Amino acid sequence: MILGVVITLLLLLFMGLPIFAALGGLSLILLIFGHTPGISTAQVAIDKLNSQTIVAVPFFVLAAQFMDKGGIAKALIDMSEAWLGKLRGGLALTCVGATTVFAAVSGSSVATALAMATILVPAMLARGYDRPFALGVVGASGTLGILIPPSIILVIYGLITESSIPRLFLAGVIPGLLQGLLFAAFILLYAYRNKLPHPPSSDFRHFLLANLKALPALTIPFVIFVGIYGGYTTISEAAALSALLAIFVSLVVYRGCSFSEVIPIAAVSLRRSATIIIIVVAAFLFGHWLTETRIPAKLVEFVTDIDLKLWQFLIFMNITMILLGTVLEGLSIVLITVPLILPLFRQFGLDPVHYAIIVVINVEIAMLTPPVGLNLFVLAGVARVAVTEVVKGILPFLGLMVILLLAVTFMPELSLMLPGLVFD
Amino acid sequence: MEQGEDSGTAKFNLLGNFEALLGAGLLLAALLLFLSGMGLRLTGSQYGGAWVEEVTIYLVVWSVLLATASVVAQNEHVRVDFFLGLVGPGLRNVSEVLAAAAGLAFCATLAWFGWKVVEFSLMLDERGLTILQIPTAWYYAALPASMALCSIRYVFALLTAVRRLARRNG
Repeated sequence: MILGVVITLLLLLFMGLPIFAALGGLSLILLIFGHTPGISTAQVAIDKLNSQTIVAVPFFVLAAQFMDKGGIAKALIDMSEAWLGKLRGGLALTCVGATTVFAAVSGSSVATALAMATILVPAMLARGYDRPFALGVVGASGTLGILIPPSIILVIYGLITESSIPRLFLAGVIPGLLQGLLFAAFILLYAYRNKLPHPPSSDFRHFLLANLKALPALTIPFVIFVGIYGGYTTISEAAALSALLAIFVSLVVYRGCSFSEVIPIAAVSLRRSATIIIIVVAAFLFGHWLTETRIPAKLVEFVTDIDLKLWQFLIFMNITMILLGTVLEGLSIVLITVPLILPLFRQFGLDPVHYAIIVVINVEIAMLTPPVGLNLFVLAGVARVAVTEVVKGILPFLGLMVILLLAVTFMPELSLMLPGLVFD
Repeated sequence: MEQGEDSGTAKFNLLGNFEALLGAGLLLAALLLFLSGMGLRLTGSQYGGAWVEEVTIYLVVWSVLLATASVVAQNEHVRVDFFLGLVGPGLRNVSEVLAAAAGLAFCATLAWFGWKVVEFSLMLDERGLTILQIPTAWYYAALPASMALCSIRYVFALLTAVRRLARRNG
């Protein structure tokens, strides 16, 4: 039965139905035909939203929207360039450095890619970088936004699996830094092979000024981390603080936007949050149907019967997510697959925090794989080039991300070490 | 697009913008309230407490659900449109009709049952557990209100899609 439901769902999605209507509508039909009273279905939908964690989503999206518009990206790029710009291929390294820091401020991959692409793609082209390479660097680095905390995808994953979000955030740090280092190593190799420009190093005054200018932007991740891990704030309060700081820094320090733009920018961010949260509501209904029909228990029985091993399960899930990622948008992959396999975690002794990072790297890959990779379209739009040119530049980075995915899948310490050190 | 459709779309865009702006106002109010509550908690003030969290959640949920309707109006809901790009305009029109009908069915059903939840809560006179004793029905009402607004948009989208399909088929 579950296979029939998944196939119907995919058919509905491919027919162009909005994801919330396909997933929610199908769940609603299945629940009602399974004799669950309609009123209790509606009650589930609204009750699940009554949680403090859900509040974190619109606040993090609000923060990301202001960071995108408020001139924060420029300050972080200048700072990264002051540190890395003097190396061969320094502007590409600057991009990786700046996105790593920007990712610690913003929780969104698209916001990160957009903010970086607008400034760095024209700058790299002006310095004679190959266009597909420049686009590849920005597109691939942009995905760090959802791996390095805070991450909106990890908040949603935490909501669905009822996992500790501070643990999830910490779990993303080492894989995120590894991804940044892998990209930097590849860029250095590419830069020396292709003799990319070697700009003169700037004076100390310029170096100091660039770092000072970035300080207000850097207070945002500092406040988030000290707030959460110092035990002063909850995740939602940290999200609210980051939103307020992002608004303040954008308006008063960098003056990237004006007071009259606050409500319209908030309205845009709210619409983005609404598109996410309504799919989360649909996923809650789907999860409710799964529980009502005891499908998870049957799935556990099935897995025991065929004697599936953890490594086989992880390979199967990675292949499934990569395939789904070519046609589905990242968040949908999380919301469709995770409720389904959640009961298998205990069966396999799989830590949901470890699986979260595997899922996020798959979502990152999904953002870069044609035909529906979101970051591909963002970059093609900003640079006004064909998507195929972006894909050409992305390919080597995709290869590196698959290596990272394998490492994170089969070396759980990479994601579990830091949460273990802090919480256990 | 016909002139009637144009003016209809313009009216719906205005309503959509109004909902998004109202939602944004509620979200910013929730942000300030939530942070004030955090400040009160950290300073050990007696004025903070669970009521701040309750009101913040209610404001955020209302704002997000209101914005959902405006997202329908702007046709911004996430969908997989890759396969639609591969088919001809005829099939695409059929898919638009199906998408609007499915959206309408889902939203109208949730609006109906959501209203039943509100009625039930009013009948039981359910109230929040905090000092404010806010009727829970006020919170529950966000679901039917939002889904009703979405349904109105989907009726309009369905009519437009059917009209377009009929015109294509002569």
